[in-house]
Amino acid sequence: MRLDADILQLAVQLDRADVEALRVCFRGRQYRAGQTVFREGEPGGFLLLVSEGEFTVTTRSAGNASSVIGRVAAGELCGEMALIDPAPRSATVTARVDTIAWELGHDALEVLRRNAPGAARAVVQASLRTVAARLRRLGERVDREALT
Amino acid sequence: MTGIGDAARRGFEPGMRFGRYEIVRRIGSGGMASVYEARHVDLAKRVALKTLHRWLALRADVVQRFVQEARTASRLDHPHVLGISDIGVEHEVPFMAMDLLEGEELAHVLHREGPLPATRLADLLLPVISAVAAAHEQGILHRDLKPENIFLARRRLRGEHPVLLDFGISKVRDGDTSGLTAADELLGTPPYMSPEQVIDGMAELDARSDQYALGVILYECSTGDLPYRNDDSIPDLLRMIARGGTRPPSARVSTLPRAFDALVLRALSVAREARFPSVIELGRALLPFASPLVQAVWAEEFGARDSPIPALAKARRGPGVAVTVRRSELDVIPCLAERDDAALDQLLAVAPASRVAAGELLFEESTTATSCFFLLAGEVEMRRGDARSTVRAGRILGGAALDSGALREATAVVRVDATVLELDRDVFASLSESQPALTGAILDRLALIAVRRLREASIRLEELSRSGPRRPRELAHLRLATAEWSVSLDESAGPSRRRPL
Repeated sequence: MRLDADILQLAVQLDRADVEALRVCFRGRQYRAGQTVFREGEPGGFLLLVSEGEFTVTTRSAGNASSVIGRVAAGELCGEMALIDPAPRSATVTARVDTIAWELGHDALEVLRRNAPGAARAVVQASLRTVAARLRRLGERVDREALT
Repeated sequence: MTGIGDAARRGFEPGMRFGRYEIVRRIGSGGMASVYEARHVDLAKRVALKTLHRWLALRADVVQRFVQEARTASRLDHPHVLGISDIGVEHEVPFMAMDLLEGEELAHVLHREGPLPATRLADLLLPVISAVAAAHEQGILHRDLKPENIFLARRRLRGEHPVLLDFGISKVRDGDTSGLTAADELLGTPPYMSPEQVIDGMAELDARSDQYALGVILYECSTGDLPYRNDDSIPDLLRMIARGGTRPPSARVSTLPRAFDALVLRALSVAREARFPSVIELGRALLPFASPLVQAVWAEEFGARDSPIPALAKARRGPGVAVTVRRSELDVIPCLAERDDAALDQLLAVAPASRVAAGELLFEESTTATSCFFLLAGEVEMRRGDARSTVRAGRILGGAALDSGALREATAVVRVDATVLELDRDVFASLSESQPALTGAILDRLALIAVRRLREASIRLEELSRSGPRRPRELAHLRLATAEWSVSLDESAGPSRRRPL
């Protein structure tokens, strides 16, 4: 596990105190291949920064069929939507292979906001970047939908 | 026993002395020159020795170009331009000693791996664009940019290090070498030649011709194919280039983002005026596609600090009239309400406020997004394709700019006289050091809006996908809302699902 290097994936311009604050707040988690990380509809209150391995993201359609909508690779975030706007999980996440990730809970983010705003800002900005990228991909899906 | 003259004709053998160098092995040979790995005998330093073919050494123009290549590259002294350490003539063979690189050409990578993802491509090409920009700054045009001239050197610990090669047909503007190419001589590699290079001849070229070639490289590396191809007839290929109108990269590789399409097609515009004003602007548009680390490395060079783009300048100095805004007027924006006075004073000091009349443009689709706008009063109409949506006071327009600085995906036109506060992305970054709580609140608000927009839009797309016949109007509005977060889906036709933001 290489927490410092993973934290720097969030923002390379963090100062030493911010890195230290994130080091304290992130918790290491290990998932076996096939293990469910969280399920669609469950209350969500943490994000995960993948260190090694990969997650698979699935959702259930109206017919209750499960379909893979994405993968989360090392250096990428998942679960950030629920951290920013607490609401039930919008997708189910499972470990595709043995995976190591860093977990940051909602309470820990509040602690960071009060004590290390630069670190909190890095987490929110990285989350925003992830959400913005998903919005762009969704927009491209809408384009394809409009063409069919 | 063979003499050095025979060797020069046939090539040099390993162990042979060549002035201060000892030949180690031949790396390769082309139409103009051979390249050897060699060792500087006194310094024991390994170099790449490029020797001009002996029969070409008799042609003064070729020798002059060879010398010019060495001078140009050494004059640039750029970390992503191949370094030249020595130049001379040995046994009537002109040579130059260059950095010895281990790695491979971008062309080989493309051949082996196929189309490269936009992120990897941006990571590889931003350093090259920086090198080309450095050349342009010194009045040097490369004129033969292509994947074969971009070398990805392997550096221990630091991974791939892109290096720009071959200034062999470069042109120095206003320099003493301007007569090296005849005006009617067609130099370069046809698929990478710009329309003006094809149509107007050498005298008409400028930095935007190199930019066109970078556009071809971006297109080829992202799709695996050239924008224009005709393997049978070069004249037909040149006619295709002159005519323009290639398909967008995403038509070939559907996963490529539209914003990437926009920047590549802009660099490939037939009319030079329609391209980016400089390769720095091209780099600026490409920067958001790079990985976070590479973005951080190149933020200073390709950031927006030094040269605001025309659309922004228009928003600041064109339609908008500078006005003074009271702190209380900021209360309409949720993340600014009830912030402490000192923080808001500092925000007002760095974010210019203006009053913009109805009908005026605030920002335009496909231009680089370098700032967002807080709409304090009035109304703005957001447009994308046929979709229209009115945004009222209290919203943040173009918020994606604070994160990525990608190309705008919608156009904003003032509908009812508006008062806006414009916050530049770089200013925001520097403000975050002195006002972390305020900038944190702005980011929190933008993140909240983006998350809710993503949730709403995902649900709506699912509904529309299931609802049978296509509903183009709803899809167009949905597309607008994913492009511009200030547009709420609740204001479109259809049921409201969540509280509007």
